[in-house]
Amino acid sequence: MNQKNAILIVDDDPRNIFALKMVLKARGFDCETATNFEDAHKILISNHNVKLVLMDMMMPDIDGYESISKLKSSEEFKNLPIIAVTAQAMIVIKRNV
Amino acid sequence: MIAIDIVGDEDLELLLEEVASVYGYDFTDYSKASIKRRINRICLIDKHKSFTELRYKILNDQSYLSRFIEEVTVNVTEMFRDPTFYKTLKEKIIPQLGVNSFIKVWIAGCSTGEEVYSISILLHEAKLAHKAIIYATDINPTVLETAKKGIYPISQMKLYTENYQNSNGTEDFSTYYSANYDHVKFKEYLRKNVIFSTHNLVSDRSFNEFQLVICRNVLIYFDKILQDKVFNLFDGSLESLGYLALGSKETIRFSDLNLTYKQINKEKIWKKTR
Ligand SMILES: C[S@@+](CC[C@H](N)C(=O)[O-])C[C@H]1O[C@@H](n2cnc3c(N)ncnc32)[C@H](O)[C@@H]1O
Repeated sequence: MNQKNAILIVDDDPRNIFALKMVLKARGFDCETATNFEDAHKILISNHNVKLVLMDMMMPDIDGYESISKLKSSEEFKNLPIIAVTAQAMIVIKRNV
Repeated sequence: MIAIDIVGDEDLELLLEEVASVYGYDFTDYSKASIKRRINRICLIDKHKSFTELRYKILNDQSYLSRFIEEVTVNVTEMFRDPTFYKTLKEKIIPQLGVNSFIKVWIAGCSTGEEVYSISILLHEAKLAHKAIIYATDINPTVLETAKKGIYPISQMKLYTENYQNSNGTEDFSTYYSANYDHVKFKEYLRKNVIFSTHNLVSDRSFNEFQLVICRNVLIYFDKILQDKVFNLFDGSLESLGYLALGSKETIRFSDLNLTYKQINKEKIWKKTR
C-alpha cells in the first residue's frame, strides 16, 4: 500500500500548495505538503517515499535558499532532488498544463 | 447563588453572527445550550454586567477575542482518556496501520496535546514511529502552544499512569517524561514527527489523506448540521480502509457515513469500507 513515489511541496502560501497539488495529483503523483522548513523536515524523515521536493524560495523564517542548503548539507538528504519554485515559475507551470 | 442568564437566545444569535462576520470564527452551528452556558460563564467571570458590554468588548478588542474563543471551546483533555479506547487502538488498529510504508494520522481538536503524546507513545511502542507523521490541529492557537511544549503538571501523572496501565501499557510510564519540580516535560522524540497547526473544522477544508483520523470530544459541542459537515470533511480526508475515531459520546450512526463505515469492537472507532 502507498509505496508510490511522492513529491513534497513546501510553500508558506496554502493557495500555491493547493494549485500545485491539484496539477500534480491530476498527473498521478502522490503529494505531501508543508508550509515551512520545520514541518517539511518532519515529513522527510518519516516519509521515505518522497523522491522530489518543490521548494518555494520566498518563505518567512527559514527561506528556500537556507532550507536547500540545510538539506544539502545533511547526509540523509544530500542527494534528494530539489526544484526551486518562485511565484513566477508557478505561472509558467500553470500555463503549461 | 442562582446563576442568572445575562445573555438570552436572541442576544446569543446576534453575537455569534457578528463574531463570524467580523472575525471569521463561525460558532453559529455550535450546540446552543452549551455555548449559551459558556458565554454566561464568561460574563460572570469577567464581570460583564450586560450583553451590550460583552458584545462591545468582543467586537472592539481583538485581544479579547482569543479569551472568548478559549472559553467557548471547552478544552479539557487527558492522556489515555478512556483506556479501553486506547487498548483497542493499540491491539486492533495500530498494527493494521503498520502495513503502510508511510503512516499518516490526523488528530483534530487536539487541545493541549495530551492525546497527541498518547498516540505518539503507541506508535513508538509499536515501532512504527519512524515512518509515521501525526498532524495535530486545533482551532485555538493558545492550546497548540502548550501542546508543542509538552509540559504538564506533575499532579496529573498519577491519573495518566493509571490510564496508561489500564490501556495495557507495559512500559514504565515515567520514562516518557522528565520531571522538574511541579511539572513534567514529555521527551523530545515523542513530538519529532508531529506537525502542530491551527485548523478550523467549521471553515477549513481537508488538507491531506490519512489512514487514521481521531477527533474526540469536539463534535459534542456541534449541532447536527455541523456534525454532518465535519463527518463529510473526515470522509474526504480518509484513505479507503482508513479509520475514524470519535469520543465516547459521539457516533456516526445518524449520518450518511453509517452506510460505508463498519464499527470496530463496540468502541467509537469505525473503518471505512470502500
Ligand atoms: C474538549 S476538547 C477535546 C480534547 C481531546 N480531543 C480529548 O478528547 O481529550 C475540545 C477541543 O476542540 C477544539 N475545537 C472546538 N471547536 C473547534 C473547531 N471548529 N475546529 C477545531 N477545533 C475545535 C477546542 O479548541 C478544544 O481544544
